[in-house]
Amino acid sequence: MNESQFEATFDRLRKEIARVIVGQEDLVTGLLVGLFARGHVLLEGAPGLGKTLVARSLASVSGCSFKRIQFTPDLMPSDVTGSSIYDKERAAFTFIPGPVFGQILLSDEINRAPAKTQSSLLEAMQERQVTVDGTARALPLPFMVIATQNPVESQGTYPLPEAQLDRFLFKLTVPDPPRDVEIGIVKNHAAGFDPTHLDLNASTNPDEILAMQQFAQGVRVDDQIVAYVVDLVRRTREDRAIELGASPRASIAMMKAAQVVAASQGRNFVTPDDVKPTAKPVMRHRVMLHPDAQLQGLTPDDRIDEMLKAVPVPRL
Amino acid sequence: AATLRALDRKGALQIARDRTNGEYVRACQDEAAKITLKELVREVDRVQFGALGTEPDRVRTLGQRAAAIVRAVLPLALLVLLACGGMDTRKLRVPTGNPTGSEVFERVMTAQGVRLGRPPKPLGLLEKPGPDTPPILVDFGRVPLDEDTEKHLVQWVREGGTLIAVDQPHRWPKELRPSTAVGGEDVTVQQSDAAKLEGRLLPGLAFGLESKGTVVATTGNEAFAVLRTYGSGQVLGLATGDLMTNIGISVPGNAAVLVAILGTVNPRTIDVASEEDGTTPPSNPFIALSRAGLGLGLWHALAATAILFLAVGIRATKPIPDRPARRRAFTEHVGAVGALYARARLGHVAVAALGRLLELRARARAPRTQDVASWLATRVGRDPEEVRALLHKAELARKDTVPIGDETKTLEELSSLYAAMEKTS
Repeated sequence: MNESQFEATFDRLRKEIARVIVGQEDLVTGLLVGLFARGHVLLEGAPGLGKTLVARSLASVSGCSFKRIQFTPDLMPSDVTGSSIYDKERAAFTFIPGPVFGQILLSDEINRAPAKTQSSLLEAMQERQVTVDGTARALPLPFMVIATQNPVESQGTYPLPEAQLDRFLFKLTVPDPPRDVEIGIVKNHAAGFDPTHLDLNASTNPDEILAMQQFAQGVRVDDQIVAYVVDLVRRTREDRAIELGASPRASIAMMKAAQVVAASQGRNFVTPDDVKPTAKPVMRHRVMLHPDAQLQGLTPDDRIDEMLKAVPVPRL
Repeated sequence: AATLRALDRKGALQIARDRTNGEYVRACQDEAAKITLKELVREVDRVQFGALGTEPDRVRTLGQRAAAIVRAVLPLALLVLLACGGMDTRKLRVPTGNPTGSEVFERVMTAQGVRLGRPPKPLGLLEKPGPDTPPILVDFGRVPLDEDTEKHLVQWVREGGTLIAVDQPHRWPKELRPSTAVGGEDVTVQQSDAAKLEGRLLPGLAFGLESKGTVVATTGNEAFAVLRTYGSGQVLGLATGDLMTNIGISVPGNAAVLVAILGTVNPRTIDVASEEDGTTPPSNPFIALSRAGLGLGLWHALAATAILFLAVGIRATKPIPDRPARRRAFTEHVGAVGALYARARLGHVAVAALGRLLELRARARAPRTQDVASWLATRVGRDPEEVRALLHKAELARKDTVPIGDETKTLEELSSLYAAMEKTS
C-alpha cells in the first residue's frame, strides 16, 4: 500500500457513496476518515437527514458486515453484546453474539438508552472486544461504531457521559440540505430510489481497509505539526468560555485523523492543511462550555474557530 | 514567503499567521499566480513537513516562475529555497533547518581564516577608520539605516573604511550606488586568465557594466560584484545576499565564488552589521522623542509651558490691593442700630435700652444690699443724685412713646457712665 493507492481507494469509496448520498460531502469524508483512523463517529442531526442511510452505504461500499441497534430506554447490555443461551440439545450454553459483532455498527439514537447499556459499548469501542460471562471475545476487524443522536429531543434521553463521548474520534453534525440538494434527493426518490435496497458496489474489502489503516498510521508527522496540534488542544484548557477542555486523547485523535487526511490526498506526510479540518470534528464533543457562555449562545464550534485563528500555523 | 508577501501587496491574498499554505492557494485571487503558488506550496510542504529533498530542475523552474511573481510586484530578494538552481540534493543539509540562516557562511569564512564579528559600535557612531579597521558587511535588505546613520557611514567610508554592501543598490546610501540591471544566472569570478570560478544563482538584480569600479564577478554579461573606491575608502558591492545564506552557499561552487569575491578586500576580520546597528541611539532625550514621532508634541508642550510661565508671571506682577482694615462687627452693629433709631425718631427707645443695660450690669456687680445708683456713683466717683436722676430718666424713657428732644445728650451721659463703670471693673 502506498499513498497513491490510498488516495485512489479513498476517492473511489467517496464517489461510490456519493451515488446514494447527495450533498453531504463533509459527512461522507468524515466517516471515511474515521474508518481509516480506526475511530468511531458520532453523528448528530435531526431525523430524516440520512444518517442511517450513510452508515449503510459505508458498510456496502466497504464490503464490511453491517449491524444496527436501535437504542431504546429498555435496551439491556446483553441486547448489545449478546448473551449465552442454554441449548437443550447440546446441554450446554451457547453464546449468541449480539449486533456489536458487526464490522460497521450503527447505534441509532444512542442517547435513548440508559447509561448501563451505553457503557456496554465502551469496552467494544476501546478494546475491540466484549466480555460476556467472564469471557473476552474479540470483535471482527475492522470495527467501527457509528452512533447517532437527535439534538432536538431532551425528554427521555440519557446524555452520553464524557468518558464515552471521548471514545468517539469525531462528532459530525448533519445539517439540513440546501434547497438544490433537497430537490436532488426528492428527484432521486421520484425516479424510484429505494433506500432499503442500495445499488452500491463494494469498492474495497476488509483486508484492504486494514492495510489502509496500517498505512495511515505510518504517515509522517513532523514535530512542528505535533506542536501545532498540541497547541490547538491546549487552548481549549485555557479558554475562559470553556469549563472543561479537551484531553490529550484529543491531540492523539487529531493527529490520527490528520494522517488519514494526508494519505487521502496522496501524501505520506501531514501538513497544517490536514490538521485544520479535523479540529472541529475532534474537539466539539470533548469540550464543555461554561454555563455563562452557553447562555450567551456560544457553541463549541465558535470557540474552536477562535482558537484556530489564534494559534499560528507552522511556517518555513 | 517573498511570493506570499508579493501577492499580499498586490491584493491577491491576505497574509495571516493562522492561514495555512493551502488556504493561501485557495484564497489567491490572481489566477495566473495561483497555479505557481500551488506548486510552490507543494514543494515547500515536501521540504518542511516531509523532510524530503527537491528535484533541481523543478526548483529552478518554480524559482523562475516565483521570481516573475515577485518581480512583477517589487524587486525583492526571493525565498531562499527557490533561489537555488542546479543544486545537488544530497548536499542539501541545512544545519539548523533554516535555509535563510548564515551558519554555513560563518563556517566557510572561519575555515578560510576570516573571523566574523560585530561592529564595535552602531554604524552611526563608528570612529574614524584606521589601517587595521576591519571591513563592515551591511546587508541593506536586513539592516535599515536612519538618515544620520547613513550619512555617518558614507563619511566613514570616505575617511578610509571598507564597506561590503549587499543587496539591491537602491537601498544603499546614494553616494555609494552603482547602476543596476537585471542579470543572468551564472556568477563568474575571473581571478586570472586560468582560474575562473563559477557558481549558480537565480536571476536577480545585478549591476550594470556602466557602474563605477572594478567588476569582481559577473552573472552573464552583467556585473554581480563590483569593487570601487570612494574617498579614501572602498566599497565592495554584491547584488544580492543569497550567496551568504545557508542554502545559497550550499550550491556547489558558490562557496568558492563567495570567498573569492570577499577576498578582494583581503579581510582578516569582517564585522557583520545586524538590524540594531542601523539605528544610532539618541544622544539626548529630545532626539529620542523626536525619533519616536513625538517631536511636534514636544514643541507643543514647550510652547504650552512658556505660555503658562508668562501667564503666571504676568499675574504675579499685578499690584495686590491693600487689605481692608479690620473692623469690629459689634461696633458697626451698634452704630447701625443707632442710626436707625435716629432716623426713625426712636431716640427714647435707645435711651431706654442703654439705661436698662447699664442698670443690669451695675446690679450684677453691686452688692445686694446696696442701691444700684449709690453703688454706681461711688464706683465712678459721681454725685449719687445725678446718677439716680440719669437712671430715672432712662426708666421714664421706657414708658414714653414720643421723644423729648434731649435723647442724644442723655445717651452720651449714659454711655460715659457705662464706660466709667467698665473701666473701674
